[in-house]
Amino acid sequence: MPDDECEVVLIKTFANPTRFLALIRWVMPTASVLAVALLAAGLWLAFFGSPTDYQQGQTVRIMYIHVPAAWMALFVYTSMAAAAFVGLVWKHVVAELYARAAAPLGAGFTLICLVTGALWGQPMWGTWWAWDARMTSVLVLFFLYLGYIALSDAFDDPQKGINAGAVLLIVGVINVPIIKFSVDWWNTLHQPASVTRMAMPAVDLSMLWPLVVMAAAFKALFVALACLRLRTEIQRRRLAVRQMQQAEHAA
Amino acid sequence: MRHVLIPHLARSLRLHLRRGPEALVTVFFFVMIAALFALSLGGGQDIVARAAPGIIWTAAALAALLALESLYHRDYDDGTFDLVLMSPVSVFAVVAAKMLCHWLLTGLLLLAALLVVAPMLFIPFAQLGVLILSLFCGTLYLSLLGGFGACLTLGSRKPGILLVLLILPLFLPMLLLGVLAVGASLAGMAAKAYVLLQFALLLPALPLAPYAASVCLTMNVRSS
Repeated sequence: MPDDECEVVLIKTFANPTRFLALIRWVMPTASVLAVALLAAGLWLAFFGSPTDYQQGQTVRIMYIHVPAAWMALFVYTSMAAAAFVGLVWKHVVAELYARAAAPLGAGFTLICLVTGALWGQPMWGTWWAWDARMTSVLVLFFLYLGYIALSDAFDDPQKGINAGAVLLIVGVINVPIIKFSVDWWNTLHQPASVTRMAMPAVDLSMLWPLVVMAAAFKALFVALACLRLRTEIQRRRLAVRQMQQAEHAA
Repeated sequence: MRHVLIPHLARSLRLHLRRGPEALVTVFFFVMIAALFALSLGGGQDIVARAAPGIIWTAAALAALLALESLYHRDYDDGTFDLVLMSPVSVFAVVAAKMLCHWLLTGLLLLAALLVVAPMLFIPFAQLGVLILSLFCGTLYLSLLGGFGACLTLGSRKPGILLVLLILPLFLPMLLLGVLAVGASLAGMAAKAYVLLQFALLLPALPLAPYAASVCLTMNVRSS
């Protein structure tokens, strides 16, 4: 029986990730090249190729970093929860490792979103921070990321950390809409108009283009970095299996 | 289910009470945090009364999470959970008993402590009804979420602090609604809608939290 179990573990550890590593071998360079090209184009468009806002002046250019980062913050968390579900149900090794690989990247995007938001808020609203519903929700999302990272690192057995983290992600993703709703409600009742949100006009095409290009650049950057981190995780796991085997032989 | 729940509840309670005054530490902590807030705000009636709902809710959340570690992780360390998993009893019922025990040891005592804390924070006794009802919801929700968090961190390196970090963001919606309810009642407005929304949050958690916690418990204990 132990032999059988061992074999199943080996098949799962090697067969599937090997195919995945072959995939990564061309996805990662493609995504990297794409990310560099799109970032260059997007930044050029954002700084030189787009007009200043008639109200906000130059500061509107912060939007081209801030908004794509916010999109990525939500996207990465959702993708992590989906992967965690797949990993828990089908014991899919790559899906299990994905959440661990993506979490610091998602936390990074969330932090970028918060920091650029503060930098944008200071000249526009006269304050670095306000307990506005959206800002509070993003802050809580950041806490959820940090909680996941702390939990998945807190076990001596990495597999336990992955499993516990997966359950937390699924519970968290159910909670994100509830948090958003409650904060929205609390905010509208608690402190009306502390921050006068600028009424977002229909975005002009000259501003939409840089935004779209930057969003694509962020996504490509994420794919490249996530591939890199996934490869590291897979190889780290292989190394652990190899060491276990050697120890078994020596015994 | 019933013949699992009640003996486990009795056992947990007995074990906890046998350790003497430990059960009262939670209440003491709650009262002390409230006093500390009131003092640090200067003690003036206007500002303390305005901050009272927030103080009570924050203090209650911190106090309730304090008792989790000794309730769950001790049973993990001494092998009780191993025996539970080996026996044919329902893990769901065992976890539900733990959560109920946690509520009796924290939530119920905190509600009783309100009799002391409310006058300290200048809350009129006429408003105590809404406060108790809303805090009943909140503390029960904390026991459910806390039990989930405790089972999630069984066998981890630093369960105590980790658990607090994981639970507090998830507790936020309940906290905001509770503060709104208490705030509305103190301002002389209708609090019914907020209390109903609190129950709307609580009710789905009643079956889901023990279920999620039993999944975590099985996962964390089996593989060790």
